[in-house]
Amino acid sequence: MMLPFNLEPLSDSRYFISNLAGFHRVVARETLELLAEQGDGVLDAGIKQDLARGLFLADSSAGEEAGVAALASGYARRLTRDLAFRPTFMIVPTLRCDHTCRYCQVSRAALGAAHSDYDLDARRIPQVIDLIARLGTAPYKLEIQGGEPLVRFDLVQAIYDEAEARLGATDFEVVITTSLSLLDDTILDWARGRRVVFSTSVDGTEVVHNRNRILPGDNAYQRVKRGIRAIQRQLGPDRVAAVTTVTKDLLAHPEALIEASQELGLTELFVRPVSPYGFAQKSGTGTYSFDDYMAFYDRLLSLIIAHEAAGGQLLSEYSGKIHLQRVFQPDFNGYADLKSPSGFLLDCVLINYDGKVFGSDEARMLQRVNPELDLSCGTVDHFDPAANPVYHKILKESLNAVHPGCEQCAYQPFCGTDPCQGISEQGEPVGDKSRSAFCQYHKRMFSYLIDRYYRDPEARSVMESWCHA
Amino acid sequence: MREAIRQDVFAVPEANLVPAGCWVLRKTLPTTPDTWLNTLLVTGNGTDASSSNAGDICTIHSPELFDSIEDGDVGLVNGRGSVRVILSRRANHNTVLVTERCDNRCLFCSQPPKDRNDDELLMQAAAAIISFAGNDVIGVSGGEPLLYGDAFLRFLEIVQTHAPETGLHVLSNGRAFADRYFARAVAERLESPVVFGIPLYAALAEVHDTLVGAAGAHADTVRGLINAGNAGIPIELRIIPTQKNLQELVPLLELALRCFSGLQQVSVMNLEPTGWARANWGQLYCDPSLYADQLTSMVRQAEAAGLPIALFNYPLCHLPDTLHPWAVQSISDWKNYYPDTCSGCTMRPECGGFFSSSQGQFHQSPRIIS
Amino acid sequence: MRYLDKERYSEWVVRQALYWLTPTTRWRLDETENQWAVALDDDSYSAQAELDRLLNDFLLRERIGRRTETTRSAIADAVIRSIQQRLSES
Ligand code: SF4
Ligand code: SF4
Ligand code: SF4
Ligand code: SF4
Repeated sequence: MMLPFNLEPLSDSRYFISNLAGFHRVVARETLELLAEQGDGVLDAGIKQDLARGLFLADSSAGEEAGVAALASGYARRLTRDLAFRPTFMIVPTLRCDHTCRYCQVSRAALGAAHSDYDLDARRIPQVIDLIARLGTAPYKLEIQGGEPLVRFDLVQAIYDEAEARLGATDFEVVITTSLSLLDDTILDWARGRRVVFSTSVDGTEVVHNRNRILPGDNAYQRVKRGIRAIQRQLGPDRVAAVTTVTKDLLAHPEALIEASQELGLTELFVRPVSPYGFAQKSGTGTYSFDDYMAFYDRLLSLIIAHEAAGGQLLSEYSGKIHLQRVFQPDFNGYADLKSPSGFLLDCVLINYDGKVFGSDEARMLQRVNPELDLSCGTVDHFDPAANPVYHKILKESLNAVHPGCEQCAYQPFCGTDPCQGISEQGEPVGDKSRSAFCQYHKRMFSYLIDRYYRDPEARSVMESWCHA
Repeated sequence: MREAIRQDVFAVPEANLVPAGCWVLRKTLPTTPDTWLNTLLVTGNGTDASSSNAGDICTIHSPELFDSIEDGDVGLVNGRGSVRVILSRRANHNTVLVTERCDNRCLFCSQPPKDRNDDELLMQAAAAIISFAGNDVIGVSGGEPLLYGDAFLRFLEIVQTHAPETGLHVLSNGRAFADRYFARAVAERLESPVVFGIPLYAALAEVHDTLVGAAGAHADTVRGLINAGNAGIPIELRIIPTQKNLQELVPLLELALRCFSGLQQVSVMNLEPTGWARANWGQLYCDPSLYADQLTSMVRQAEAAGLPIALFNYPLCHLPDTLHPWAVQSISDWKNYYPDTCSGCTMRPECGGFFSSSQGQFHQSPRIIS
Repeated sequence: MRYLDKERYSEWVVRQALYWLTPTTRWRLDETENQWAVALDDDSYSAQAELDRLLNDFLLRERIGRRTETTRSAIADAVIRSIQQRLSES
């Protein structure tokens, strides 16, 4: 007896099938044809057992009843798990920035702009931490965003001190998202005994990096290199991580990224396509197709495999890793984008420099380019998501299982939704998946990774070590 | 005869004068009389043996027994001259048997089911637990305790009312929880910590049903686990690897992680050569080295999902080093022993050793590595 | 213009396939009594091939879906029950 499942094509007439509880298999088209035509009676015994173990088939009516119960329970479990409210608290101390990156997503403010317009009022910090204490539970995750937060290192320190006093000295961790251009010994000394890690951007080798990440009058790449090195040396290698925005300049040169990571002593890559938010699209630097992006990713993975085979250190790639973990690791929900209900608000509470609060980083970016909309869920002193009908709508429609398009999709148990991207591209949170950048990107990532995982043993062992590290 | 670490059966010739049944074992007369069970005063060398057999109190003289018990332990007198200490303050784990009936016929059952009516055992067990009044967990085993249905609900109520400090660990095949309402009824009665240890041996129904000797058992237990978990009953999932379910181990864990709620722990248990397992040993027992990879994968998956997992009854030298952190020194203290070969082993303090029942053909040799 | 027999292609299959064809090309759907008439703006071989692939996959989904219709709704009922129970537990 067959139990319900969805299917998506991979290469070579193979299909990825999955069910509501999140089991998956890769099967040949003939198997599916046989099932469609004659049911499971005619299948090879081994295939049948394999499918029955994943609740794709049941061997009796009692088994069918148990299978239905198990699928339902697995599905309910998934929903309840993704529904948990465990937000990262993002704080934007300033929007001002010393860089003028071509793809800047947050529409930075000039370094010389008025503090009163673009910086967090220091007197608000107790309120900020108070909100965090009220909404979160230990261990709290704080992320300091920008602009360039180190422009106002004094505020970063004040936030840390307040958190230490209110949240408990060991009950929180702070990630500072920074280009590291302003990192100096004072900051390093400060960070040494504190629970602080740095997240920075490296977009390739010097040429590629500097073409997109522009530091007027200076060399952005050399700055970030110096910063990463200093942190690794003085604080330890695990205190700094880098993300890579794949620009058109990098697209043809994945090897530049391997090279850069070697030069910088980084073993974890985190590559992402240029975001569809903010000004990235308008600047013209980010225009390439997802097919181009996947060709890049494919070459990157091959380079990683070759690098390891040649005796180099294993490099992991975080985007690939989280897609794989969603598929292979029951209960993994550590990434706000890949969650259903979406991670909007559940995974993120962003406190902006002006005291407004948002349900995701994307929401504040969207707000910035659409000043006529209100995408906030109140302010630091008056947090109230219920008051904004947009929030109600987003949360209500954040379950991908009922989205047209996702309903039939075999990646649905592992995928998520990005309501802000929907709003940004199509004016509403659900949107037409066939035209959604979110869908195109994630569907390609899932099918690419799974296809390669089951086709290429070398790639598989590299992917497994990503997940188990 | 291999010496187990703690002895629990004592030959006391004069015990054949004591009516068979459960007794509270006393070393001195209690100030307030025992109410749930009758009192059996045990005397040893140097104790004054003059107490009378007045009223409900019997007295026996056995220095050996006297030295092996604490005041207030519970003993079972068999009427043929022996006393078995069933609840002992010195034991690392105590278990009461509430029935020998069962709707499964597991190929490795350590307590092979009998069909005769033994209803009296349930309330006797309740009385024993209440009299013992310990604050550790007591195992409740069978047979299948949940076959009692509503009577089991009353058992829970009584025990929790009168021994509120005692936790229970109920070993059940979980089939009765296929009835959602029964699962709820049990859940509503859980006050003191009660955990249900429920075994599932395969993701595939046919494999589980073969191992437990009952068609339809898998479907019942799977639904039972789901219902119990959803109702909020804490569950320990028990898995015994055998030759017949090696392919099932990893898929089974995935099933558990994806579909079951309320799991407190997964326990993987090495087969114990008792009961029917001895008769079926040849077709069941599997050398752990043959499924070390599966164990590793299970441990990894469970850890990634934040579910505690433990490996029970494995001599450490039968597991790869990487799995040692998950091995638990678990064999009850009256069941384990260390063969001579173990004497030079540095891991012995952490190792559970072997079942004292594994002799002769059932014995797997220690493999000294260092 | 592509003509698809209504006997073979249900409206669901055709509409689903066209939905996912949107990123490849703009299209228009008409029908006669027995056929669907699909016009593609981009009539290239690769766009046609993509349409064929999509039609094929949705036919497969439809046939498999038909065999599991009743279980699908049984699961939906059970999910609701289970979520209700979870909520009442917590
Ligand atoms: S460093 Fe960040 S905030 Fe500054 S311009 Fe570049 S992308 Fe924008
Ligand atoms: S967004 Fe796209 S890939 Fe993700 S579930 Fe929906 S249809 Fe599938
Ligand atoms: S479930 Fe199996 S092991 Fe347990 S009592 Fe019944 S037959 Fe024995
Ligand atoms: S030799 Fe004996 S004590 Fe040492 S690990 Fe093996 S069984 Fe345990």
